[in-house]
Amino acid sequence: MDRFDRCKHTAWRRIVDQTVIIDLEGHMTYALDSSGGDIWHALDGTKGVAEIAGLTDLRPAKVDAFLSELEKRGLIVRSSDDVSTDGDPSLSAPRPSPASEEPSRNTPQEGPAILWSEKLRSAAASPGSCAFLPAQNALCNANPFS
Amino acid sequence: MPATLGLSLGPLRLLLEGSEQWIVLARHRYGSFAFESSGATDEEAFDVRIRYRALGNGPSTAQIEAARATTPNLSPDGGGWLVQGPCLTGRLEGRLLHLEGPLATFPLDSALVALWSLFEGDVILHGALAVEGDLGWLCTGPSGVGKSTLARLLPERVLCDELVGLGTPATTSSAPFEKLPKSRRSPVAHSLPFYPGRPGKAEVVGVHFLEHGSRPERHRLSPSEAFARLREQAFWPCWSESNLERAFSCLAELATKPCWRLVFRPDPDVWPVLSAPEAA
Repeated sequence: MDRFDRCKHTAWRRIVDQTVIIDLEGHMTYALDSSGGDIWHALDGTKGVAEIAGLTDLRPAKVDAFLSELEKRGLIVRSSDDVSTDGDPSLSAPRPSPASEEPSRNTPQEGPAILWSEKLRSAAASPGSCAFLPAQNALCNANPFS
Repeated sequence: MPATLGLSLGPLRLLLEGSEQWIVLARHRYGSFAFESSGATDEEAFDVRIRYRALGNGPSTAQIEAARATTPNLSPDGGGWLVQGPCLTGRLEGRLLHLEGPLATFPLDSALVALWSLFEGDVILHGALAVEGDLGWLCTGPSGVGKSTLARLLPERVLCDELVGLGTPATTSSAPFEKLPKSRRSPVAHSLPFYPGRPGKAEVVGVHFLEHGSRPERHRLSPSEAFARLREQAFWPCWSESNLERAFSCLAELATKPCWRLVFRPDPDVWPVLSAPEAA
């Protein structure tokens, strides 16, 4: 039986009806709907699809598909009874497919689902803030030596 | 003996060292956030010393254009940090930062954003900070949404209009964020000197996402809607997983505060709406 756990390079918070996840390595952020969040919070490396489906009152097929999606994005790891990972989920984490810079939106009629995903804007790649554009006002333009 | 100038970014105290010409520019640039260090070089008086070596007589047009396109990046390097950008190179070791760049202060501006996350706060947000006593409201949104307009309308209330530093009192606590009492998780906002502003801080009691309109009114946002907007205005410290996680915790906590869409026109009558209690 396959079991699932959250990757160690993730951080998450439940914000009311959504669960927001940050991929600390890939610098991506995701929001899960309520059902997706229930699945996420049930992951502890000991449960398989059937048990998670029972805990969340979701159909196993939907849980399986959702877990596959999370795994594809590099947020969870799968361990099998036949494979030893030494209890370290991060060792077998698959790398996600190249992250798109454009935000993606997915608002299905029913969950579980990833509502949106987006690349984090780092301080090193932040366009637009006029704080970093020199000579923005008269004070900057003034010649202090005159 | 280099010229020196003390600079405060909220609780972060910096000692700038450089040529007389560069220090004159720095004093001119940072205004009321600067303070005379009285020649003090005591390691205990400052959190970080910044030694700036100005190259040439001033930035070229090409350098200015390059600085518009991107800001410096931090990368770990043998126990320290490398700072690299189109107009700036440097290395941070412990509490000493060596920087080289043109005779200007804008390269330092962007390095200071990184220093804030490394040494003191959780995250920097693109926004204005309006205050009343010890209470504050973050007023945020993309460039052009009205932050500077708000500052001009309410000069006694708005401390800064571009960047705000956020931290929680428990930033340096070793306890996991979730185990801290609620009172220690409430974000504190510090005004930052980009552009002319006044030093100050406040406990954040509300967040406003600014919009232009014909009359002042506000519309409540759900925490998840608020977080989606906040993350777009944050300067995420992607150079460090621990810094990134702290920034996330801070913004997630902020999203649980009363968050609003604040519609306003260029009139000071926005203040009663901006500062109204949650239940109003």
